[in-house]
Amino acid sequence: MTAKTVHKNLGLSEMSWRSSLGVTKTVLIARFKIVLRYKGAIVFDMILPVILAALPILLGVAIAGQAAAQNFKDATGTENYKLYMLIGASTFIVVTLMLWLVGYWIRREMETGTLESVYASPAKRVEVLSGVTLYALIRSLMAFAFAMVVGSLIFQVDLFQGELALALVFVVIGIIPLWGISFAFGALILKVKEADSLIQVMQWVVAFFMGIFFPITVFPPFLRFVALSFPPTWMTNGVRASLLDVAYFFGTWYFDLAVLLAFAAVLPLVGYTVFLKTESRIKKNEGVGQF
Amino acid sequence: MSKKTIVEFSRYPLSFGAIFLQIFLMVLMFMFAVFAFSSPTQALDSFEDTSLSGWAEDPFSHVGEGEFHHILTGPYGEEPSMAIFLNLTDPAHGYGVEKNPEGVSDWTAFKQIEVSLYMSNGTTAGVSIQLRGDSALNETWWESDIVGFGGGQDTLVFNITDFGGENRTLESVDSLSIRFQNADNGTVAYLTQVDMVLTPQGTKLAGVMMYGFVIFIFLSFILWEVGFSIREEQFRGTLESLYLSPANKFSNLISRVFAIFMWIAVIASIALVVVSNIAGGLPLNNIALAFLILFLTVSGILGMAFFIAGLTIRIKESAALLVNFLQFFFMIFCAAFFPFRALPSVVVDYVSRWIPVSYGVDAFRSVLIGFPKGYPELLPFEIEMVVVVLFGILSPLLGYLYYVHSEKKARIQGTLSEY
Repeated sequence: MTAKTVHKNLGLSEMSWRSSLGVTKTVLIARFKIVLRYKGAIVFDMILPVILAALPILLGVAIAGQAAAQNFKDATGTENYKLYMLIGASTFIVVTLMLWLVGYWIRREMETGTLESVYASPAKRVEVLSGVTLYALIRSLMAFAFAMVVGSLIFQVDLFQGELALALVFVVIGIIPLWGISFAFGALILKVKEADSLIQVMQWVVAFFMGIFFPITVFPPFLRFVALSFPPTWMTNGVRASLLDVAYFFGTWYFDLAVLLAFAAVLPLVGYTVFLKTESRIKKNEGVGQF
Repeated sequence: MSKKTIVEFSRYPLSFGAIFLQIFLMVLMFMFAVFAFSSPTQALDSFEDTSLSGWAEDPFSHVGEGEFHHILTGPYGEEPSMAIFLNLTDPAHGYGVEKNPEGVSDWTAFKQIEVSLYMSNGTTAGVSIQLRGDSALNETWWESDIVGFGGGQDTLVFNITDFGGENRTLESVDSLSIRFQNADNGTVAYLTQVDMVLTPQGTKLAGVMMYGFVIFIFLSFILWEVGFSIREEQFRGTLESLYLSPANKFSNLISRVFAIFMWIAVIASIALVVVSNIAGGLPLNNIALAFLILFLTVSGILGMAFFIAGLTIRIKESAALLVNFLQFFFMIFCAAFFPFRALPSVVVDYVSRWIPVSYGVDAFRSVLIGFPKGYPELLPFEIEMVVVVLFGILSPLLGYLYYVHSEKKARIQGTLSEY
C-alpha cells in the first residue's frame, strides 16, 4: 500500500485515492483467497436457492396436484410457480449473503482479536468495509446468476421471457440499498455481538418479509407495511413482475423502480452513518476488542 | 458438561428467542406458501383426467351403454383418489356419481358439492344431491331438497352438513349421486362439472407437514449444535485442553446437545399447538407409539451427529458447510414438509429409501395421522419399525466409534489442536 506523505511534523501519511482503492482491493483479494480454500462453500451458495425453491414447489404439488398452476395463478397472477419460487429464492440468497458475510466478518475479527488491529491501521473504515461488502456482493451475484441458470434447467422454466433487461435493472438497483443495510447490520453485530443468533434470525425475517414463497399481499396491513419498507421486497417483486404476469406494487415498472432508487440513494448513507456512530460509542465505552 | 452448556446457552438469552423466532418464521413461511397453492375449490376437471370436457360436450353419446367411467386423480396425488362411475341408463333419472371406496384417503376435507350445469334453452329441471351411507346398506340415502334449475348455465351448491346434521362429512358417505328430475323427461341436461370444495386446510396434510417438520428441526439443530460446537472448540483452542481432562468422551458429546434438545422439544410443542389452531386441529393418534418412534429417530440422529463430530476433527472448517448441506439434503430427500409422493419416484427409489431418517419421518407421521390410506408411503409399517429400531440402536454406536477413531487418529498425527 502506498501513501502520500504529508508534512505535518508528525510523520503521518494521508491516503491517496489510489491507496484507498488499494485497501479495498487488498481486503477483497484477502476475502476471496480465504473462501477459495473452501470451494464447497461457494458451490453451496449457488445450489442453496435451487433447494429452497424446490421445497415450496414440492409442497405445492403435494397439495394441489395438477391444479397447482391454476391455484397459484388465482393467488399470485402467474401460473409459473416454479420461476416465481426460483426468483424469490435467488434474490433471497443475494440478501442473505450480503448480511451473512459482512456480519460474520466483523464477528470473526472480534473473536480472533484482529478487529482492534484493523482499527489501529491507517486504513479508513469505509475502505475496509467496501472491500468486505464488495466481496459479499460479487459472491452473492455469482450465486444469484448460477442459481437462476441451474434452477431454470432443473425446473425446466424459461428465463428468457418477459422483460429480462428490466429484471436485471431491478437486481442492480436493488443491491445498492443492501449495501446500507449490511453496514447497519454490521453495527448491530458490533453492539450485540451474538452474530450467530442474529444472522440465523435475520435470514428468516428477511425471507419472510421479502415474500420469497408467496406474494406479500397475503399479509395483514401492518405486516404489508413492514414488508414494503424493506427494499429487497421491491427488488424481488420487480424481478418477478418483469419476467412473469405479476403486478408491480404501483402498477407500473417506473414507479416501483423509482421507490427502489430512493432507497438506493438514502440507505447506504444512513447505514454507514449508523455504523460510524455505533462504532464511536463502542470505542468510547468498552472498546471494539471485546467479544 | 450439560450444566456447562445450559449455563453457556443462558448467557445468550437472545439465542433462545432467535431459535424460537427462526422456527416460527419457517412454519409461517411454509404455511403462506401452502395458502398460495390452495384453492377453496378443488375442481375435478383440473385433476389429471381431462376427459371431463368431452363429457360435457357430448354426454348423451353414452346413453344406453350402461356405464361411463370417469377416473380422477387428486387431490393429494393418490392414484386414483376418486373414481366416478356414471350410470347413464336413463338420462331422465340422472347420473349416479359414486366414489371409489378403495381410493379415497381424506373425505373429511370435502364440505360442499358444487354442480355446474348447462341446460338447453327452454328446459327446466329439478336437481338434487343424494348421498348413500355404508355400502352394505344401500338403501340408506340422504337426499337434498330439489333445487329448481331453468336453462342456461349455473352452479348449484349443496352443503354436506345439510345431509343429516352439522357433523356430517363425506367420510361417512359411500356414494354420491346427482339426480336430475327433468321436466322434459329425458331431454338435454348436461352435467358439466362437479366440484368438491376443500376446507381451507386439509388437516391430514397439515399433519404430514408439521410432523415431518418436528423430526426435521431435531435433526437440523442436533447436527448443527454438535458439529458447530466441536468446531468452536477447535477454533478457540480449547478442544485439546478438553481431551487432557479425565471427562468421559461420550458424555462430552451428549452434553453438547442437551440444552438445545430441551429447547427444541418446547418449541416443537408450541409450533404444533399454533399450527393446530390455525389448521383447525391436527390429527393426533397413537401418541405413545409416536413418542417411541421419535425417541428412536432422535437417537439415530444423535449417532449421525457423532459421526459429524468425528468428521469435524478431520475436515475442520468444511464441517459447517457439510452440516448446512445435510440439513437441506434431509429436508428434501426425507420429505420433511411434504408426502414422499410429491418427489419424483426415481428420487424416492434411489435416494429417499436409502436414508434411514426417511423411515423415521414416514413412520412418525403415519402413526400420528392414524394410518390413512397410502401411509406409510415407503414400506409396510412393521418393516419401517424394524428400520427405525435398528437405526436408533446402531447409529449412535457406529457414530461414536467413528468419533473415537477420528480423535485417536488426530492425536497420533498431532493434529487435534490444528484448526
